[in-house]
Amino acid sequence: MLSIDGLVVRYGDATALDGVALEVRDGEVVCVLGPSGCGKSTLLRAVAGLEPPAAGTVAWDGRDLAGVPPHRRNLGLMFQDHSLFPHRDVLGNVVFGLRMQHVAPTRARARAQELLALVGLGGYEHRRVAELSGGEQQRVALARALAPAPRLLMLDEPLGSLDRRLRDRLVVDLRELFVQLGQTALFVTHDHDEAFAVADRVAVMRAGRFEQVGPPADVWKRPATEFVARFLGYNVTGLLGPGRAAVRPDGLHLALEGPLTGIVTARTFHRDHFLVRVKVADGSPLEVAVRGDTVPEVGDAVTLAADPDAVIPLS
Amino acid sequence: MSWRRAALLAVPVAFVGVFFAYPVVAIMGRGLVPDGSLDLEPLGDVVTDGGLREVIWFTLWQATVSTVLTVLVALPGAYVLGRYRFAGRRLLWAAITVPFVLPTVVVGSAFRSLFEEGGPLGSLGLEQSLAAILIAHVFFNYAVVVRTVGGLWSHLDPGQEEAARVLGASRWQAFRTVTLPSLRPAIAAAASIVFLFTFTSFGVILILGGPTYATLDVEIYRQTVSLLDLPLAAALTIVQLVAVVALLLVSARLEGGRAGALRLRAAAEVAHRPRGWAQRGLLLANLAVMGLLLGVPLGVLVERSFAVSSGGYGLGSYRALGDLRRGTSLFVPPAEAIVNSLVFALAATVIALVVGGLAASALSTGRRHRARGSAAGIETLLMLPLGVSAVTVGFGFLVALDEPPLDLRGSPALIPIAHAVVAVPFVVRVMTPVLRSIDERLRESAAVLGASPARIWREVDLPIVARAALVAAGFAFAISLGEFGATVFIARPDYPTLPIVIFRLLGQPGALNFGAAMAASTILMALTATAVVAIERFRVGTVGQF
Repeated sequence: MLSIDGLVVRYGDATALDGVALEVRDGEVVCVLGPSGCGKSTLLRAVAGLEPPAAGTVAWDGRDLAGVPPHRRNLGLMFQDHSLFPHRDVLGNVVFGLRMQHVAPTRARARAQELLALVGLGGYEHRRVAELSGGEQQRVALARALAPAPRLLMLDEPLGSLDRRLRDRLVVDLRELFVQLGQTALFVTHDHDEAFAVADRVAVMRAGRFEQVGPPADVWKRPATEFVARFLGYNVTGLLGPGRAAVRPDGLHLALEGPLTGIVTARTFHRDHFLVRVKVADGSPLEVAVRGDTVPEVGDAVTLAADPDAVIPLS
Repeated sequence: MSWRRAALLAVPVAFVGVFFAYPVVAIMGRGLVPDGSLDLEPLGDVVTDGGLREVIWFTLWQATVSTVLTVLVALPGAYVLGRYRFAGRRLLWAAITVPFVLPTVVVGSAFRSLFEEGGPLGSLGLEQSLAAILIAHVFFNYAVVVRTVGGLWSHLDPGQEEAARVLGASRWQAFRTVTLPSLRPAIAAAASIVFLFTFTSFGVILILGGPTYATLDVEIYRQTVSLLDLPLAAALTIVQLVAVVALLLVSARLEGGRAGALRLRAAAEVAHRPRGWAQRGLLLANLAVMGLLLGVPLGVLVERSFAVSSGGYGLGSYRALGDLRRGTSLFVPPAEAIVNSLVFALAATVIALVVGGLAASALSTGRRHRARGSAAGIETLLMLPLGVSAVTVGFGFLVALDEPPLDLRGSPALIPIAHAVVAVPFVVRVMTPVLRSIDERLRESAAVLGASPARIWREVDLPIVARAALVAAGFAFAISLGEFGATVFIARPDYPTLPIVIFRLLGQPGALNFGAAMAASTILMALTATAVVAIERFRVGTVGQF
């Protein structure tokens, strides 16, 4: 089990991690979700031992990893750009970690082939990594990281550079793989759909701190702060009640009478609904999902009402 | 991290300290404190004496002009050899390096025979002219720019330039705003090598400049050897040292500024056949420049080696190499010097690679924002032998290493050590930029996968840097084969090297000696060319390809 407690990492004067605490239980997949620059990559680097912490601890099964160099931590880390070794072929990349563990060449080779088959790249052993597509590189990087059977696999935006359809598919593949292998994983992304799909628990990060940690369904249903709500795509407004409240686009609807009036500034089509952006009285934009045939045009004046049980008051 | 750096640096610093700093200090001691008390008169002479001031000024501006000319002439060559795929490209890549590694004495003689009255270009009236010196400097250093810049260029991802083109940049704007900044570290590295070289130019100016033109080096040599004015020579050495330190600091700053990690691609993916008449024209024009600039002087050299005094051609000069001895200042037949040179060169290459490789990896490890200052300082220390004349190195050996605690006088080991002192800066120069350009995340990936720091070096750095290391080895070997300025002080008559034999032969009167010198030069040229070609061939294997 990975335990992170009070972790602080500084780059010069800038504080990248500001007292982070998190546990990843064996076999659990935890996803750190946050905008770029919030410190989530730094968290992985600190756990891997690539960034020295200014304070706090990283421990495995209660044993502090402070003095353990990266190569003795038995963790896996997949970088966003995959960082495959350009001077080795696919097999050479995948067996690398096994060679470092002094696994016999024939066994290492067999294990690498097994993993390549697992990620759907059987027969790619002697391809040069430069010849691979982005999705293939991602899978080679995954096989390379999994080969030495790390006790924790960390993935830094592993799907970041891939196109959407491929991502949607690979997210499911990853989830399937993690469950199948019982792999403990710490996953970092800025995409909440990805995070929710792959994780047992989600930790939303902002400026080096966690704003909310919990199972995806809980975080999605009850965002704890305005930041989390906005990050997940909620509308946040003070016009719906005594305090500020979050409401999803499909928790609002067009009405004849309601607390919100404004002008449509944009509308976009999303398969089964239109997303209509309305600039309301206080000047802030709200998004409302509109189903059906009558969709207001840009420039129309509209009135919006909220479904009472869709309004989540924010503290 | 810093203790690791210190461990890596221990050997290079000790090496440079014992075999470079200590001899230089010894020279200064002899020059400035001749009778146990400080005597600053010689240093004053350098500043007040109009003739010596003239020497300093000439040294500076001829080096500047030579550097600018070399970069301008060689940059298109770097592009063509870096980016275009054509028959004979690999061979040409090796061939252009030959002039750079030729002994200065041979190059000087070749150009003199080219420009002398009655020579092939005698009608141009360039004998003992500044133009002849500058052309010879471009001839010499063309390969430095082409190899350093072209080497990086051949791995540069063209995608970035294409992105700029799509954003509306013209071909020239894309070059200026995208490619040139990426190449800048390599260009700065090459230009500073060329500048330091021409700043300490010795043999070429001695032979081509006649009595009119003298650089600091020529003057130091004259004062030491001809006029035996050690204090003045030492004062000139101090002036040179100060100038070189300043230059190195400036160039380290220029290079360090934006030596960010570049996107590198396999050369095979980047190179393409020249497309369209413009590219074919560019290729042809550059081939013509290489042919004229590099081919003609060497052609004349070879021609002279086969010429016989009675007119016509023959092998007389080569036969003379086996038995020329009596009646000359030679102890052994010139043929024996060939073996000596090869053995010394091999030893020097090994020493230079170990010392320079350790230094380069120390200089490129660690984080960019830390230890910047100390890295620059150490780099400057290691570069110093490059700037100080080889004459100083050789003379320093003679002065410093002839008494306890280090009495190596007469030991043949002195020669490869001296050659390594001269070659180490090259090794560092060639390897450091490549090591620095390796994406840190590759090393981090390897670390997380269980590779210890030493293992990371072997598994990640070494394969990527292998090509640079082979280039460095080629340079070190060739430098040692052709080294003259230092060797002339320490070579014993029974262990002469090829350049020393050539120099002695040139100093003898008579067509037979001159012919033998030309023949020996031709053999030296062939040896060097073979070495460079062999190294180019070696890297076809798995090493160094990425």
